[in-house]
Amino acid sequence: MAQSTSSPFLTSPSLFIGGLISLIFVALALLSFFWTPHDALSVDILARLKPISTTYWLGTDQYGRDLFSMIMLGARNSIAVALVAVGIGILLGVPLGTWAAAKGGWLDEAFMRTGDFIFAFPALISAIMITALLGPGAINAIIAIGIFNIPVFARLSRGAALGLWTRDFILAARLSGKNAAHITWEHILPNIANLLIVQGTIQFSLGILAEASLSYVGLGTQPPMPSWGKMLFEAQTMMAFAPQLAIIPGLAIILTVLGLNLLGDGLRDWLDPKTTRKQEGDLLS
Amino acid sequence: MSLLSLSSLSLTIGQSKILKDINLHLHAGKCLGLVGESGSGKSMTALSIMHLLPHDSTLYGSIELEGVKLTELDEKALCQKRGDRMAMIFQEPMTALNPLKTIGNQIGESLLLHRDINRREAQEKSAQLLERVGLPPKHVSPKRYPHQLSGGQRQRVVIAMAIAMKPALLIADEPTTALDVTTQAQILTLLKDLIVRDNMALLLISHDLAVVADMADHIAIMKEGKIVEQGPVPELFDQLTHPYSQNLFKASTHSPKRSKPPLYFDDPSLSQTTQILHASMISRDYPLPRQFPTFKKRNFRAVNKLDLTIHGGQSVGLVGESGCGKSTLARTLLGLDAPQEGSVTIGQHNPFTATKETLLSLRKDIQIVFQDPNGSFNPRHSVGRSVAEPLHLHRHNISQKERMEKITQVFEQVGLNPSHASRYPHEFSGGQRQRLAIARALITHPKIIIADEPVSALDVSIRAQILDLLTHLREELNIAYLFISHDLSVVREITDEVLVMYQGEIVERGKTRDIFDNPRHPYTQKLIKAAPDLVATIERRKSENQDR
Repeated sequence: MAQSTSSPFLTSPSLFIGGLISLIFVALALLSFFWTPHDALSVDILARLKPISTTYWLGTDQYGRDLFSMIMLGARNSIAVALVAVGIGILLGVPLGTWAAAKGGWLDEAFMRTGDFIFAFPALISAIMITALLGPGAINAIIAIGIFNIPVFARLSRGAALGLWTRDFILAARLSGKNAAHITWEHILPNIANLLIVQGTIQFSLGILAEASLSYVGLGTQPPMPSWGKMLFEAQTMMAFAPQLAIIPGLAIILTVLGLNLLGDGLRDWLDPKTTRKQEGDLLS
Repeated sequence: MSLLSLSSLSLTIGQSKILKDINLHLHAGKCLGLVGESGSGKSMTALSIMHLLPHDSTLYGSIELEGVKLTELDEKALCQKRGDRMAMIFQEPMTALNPLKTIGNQIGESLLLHRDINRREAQEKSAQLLERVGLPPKHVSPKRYPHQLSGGQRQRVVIAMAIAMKPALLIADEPTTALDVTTQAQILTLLKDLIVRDNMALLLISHDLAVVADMADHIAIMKEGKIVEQGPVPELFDQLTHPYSQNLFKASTHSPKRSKPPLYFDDPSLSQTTQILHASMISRDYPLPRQFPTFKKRNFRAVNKLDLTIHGGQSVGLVGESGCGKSTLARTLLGLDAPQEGSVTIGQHNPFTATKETLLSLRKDIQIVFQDPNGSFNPRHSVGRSVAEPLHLHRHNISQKERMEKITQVFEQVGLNPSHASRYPHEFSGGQRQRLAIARALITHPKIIIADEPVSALDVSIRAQILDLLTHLREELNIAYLFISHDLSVVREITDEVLVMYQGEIVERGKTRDIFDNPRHPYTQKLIKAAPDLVATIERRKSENQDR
């Protein structure tokens, strides 16, 4: 009884751990706007390859830049790119998906087959192609990742909306003279919001991975701005005698993705009406 | 000695007591009926006998089958009993069957599991069993998959699986609730035949007193995990002493009291009033998927050249089995799905050709109440908001104050507390939710309400209350009803006129009394004969007793 009334973040370990890790990285990214331990962009050859110490919390790289500061700026970068890319996916994908579900017929077919067409391309290879066409840079990386998020959200929201459209309360809304857009806004969206949040966190982690990959091949964030993917690339030549240069940004990527996936899993369990209903049942008994 | 006996059986799951001191006895070749409303513990009693309980449950007392105490057996010994000495039939035949296996193989499987026979013998045996339950292999191949069968045929397959090992005890949990009345009658006949010829004991669980009165030799009435009353049929019905069982009996035979005389279609006063709903020669087709190799366009005609007229204040019933086109017709009459042929007129206008402004005012005149009280409200909106939704038809010509007044008024009309309008659907019971659905239909002061199976999902006592409410509202507000139902007893009580629908067409129409007393069309005759009627059944059982 006491358990089910307390915050879900305390009862579900995946929600707690995932939420905590994600929160730490977001906090680091936000902090980097105001303060970093050192200037992440200044090259100081004298201080190159310093080990982990109280001055350099995670040591320095071959150009003497502070690794911790670079991780903070890289987090800002990764989060910004992934967030905007997921935003593009939701803002374009959800309206397209719910529109297709509401209208049906050839429009539905056209949207979904276009989605299938986009899915047929390996996302990362195509993102590389797009950035190669548009030129490298953070903005183009966002566009490239965002485009592949659109069909994901379109498909998800269409499927969920189709199920809802057959429900009686939608029929009642139609009888109340509400048009499809109005019904979608009032009845469909609130009922698929939890699905979108869960998928959003998962796409967010995929976006971070994609940004790292694009930066690794030199098509994402451009120097001098640090990025986790680029840090991995630069560490490659030093692997033999300074493996920590690769391990630290690698760990940052793994932790963030793991944290977001845990958060997504936890949110799914928490928002799923079935598990919520079970908790209500516990409360009653 | 009795075949099955439960003595002072109690069950707790977690902290809650589910069953309290159950005592039941069942002899071979007899049928024991277990009656009660949802949540009374009927199904848990059955699952306790099978020992198919959740992990955190504890059983007290004893269950004896053929002299063996099941409560003392371990899981392995119980597995041998299950399916072999005792078998169970569930409500929903589709979920009880494996959709990926042919029906022949599914029956053969349990034979292979419990008996030392080879695959060929199992196949022969399963063909025999299918023949036994009325699915002769000549007509229904054992190589079919569950989705290729009708609901009644699927339930027959489930029964064939259950009787495969010739169990001593057969437990049927609401075996006919998901089926049409005519199919229900066939399945019940089959079960009766199994009891008599194979000397099987049947524990029949049902919410429908009429079904149990027809089948059982002994009835136990359950409420909140307790047996409140039990006794032999038909004597029990004369000696009901517990107030709950008396209420249950009353609710099952309930007929809403009406003060106004019925209004028939040939009433002279109707020619002066305008019709509020009219359909002439409407047909509605659904496209079927195109098939290899011709890819011809194919259609399924759900409604075929149908005429219908309803005047103000009339109460018209529409009866038919599932798939006959009732719900399609409702959607067409509501002006949601346009018919391919013919025309619909609500008031003076055709909703499919009307201008937007006319359509808005038309919609105020016609509203609907759905079958499933769970699905008819958006779970994320407060019920007040949902009930007020049709006020959207007024667009912005309605002030917040008027809106609140209207919500209060309809809440009071359906007997709910207006201060509960800010609550959410899950905080209400099924019956209350159905009241809310009626409130939503009333809020625009409609001239006609289409009620699509409004009481089918409700318990008997709640059903009686909702029927009373609908009757009362009709008399007070002079609303016309189109009452769609598969349940003849409900239609009989609440309508003046009835239309019988079969395969998209109206096969018979007339005054309700006339049709029930003197059905002309063979389908109507079949339907009325198959419908369980509690009073008539008790009379019949009594006369059978005297003959003996």
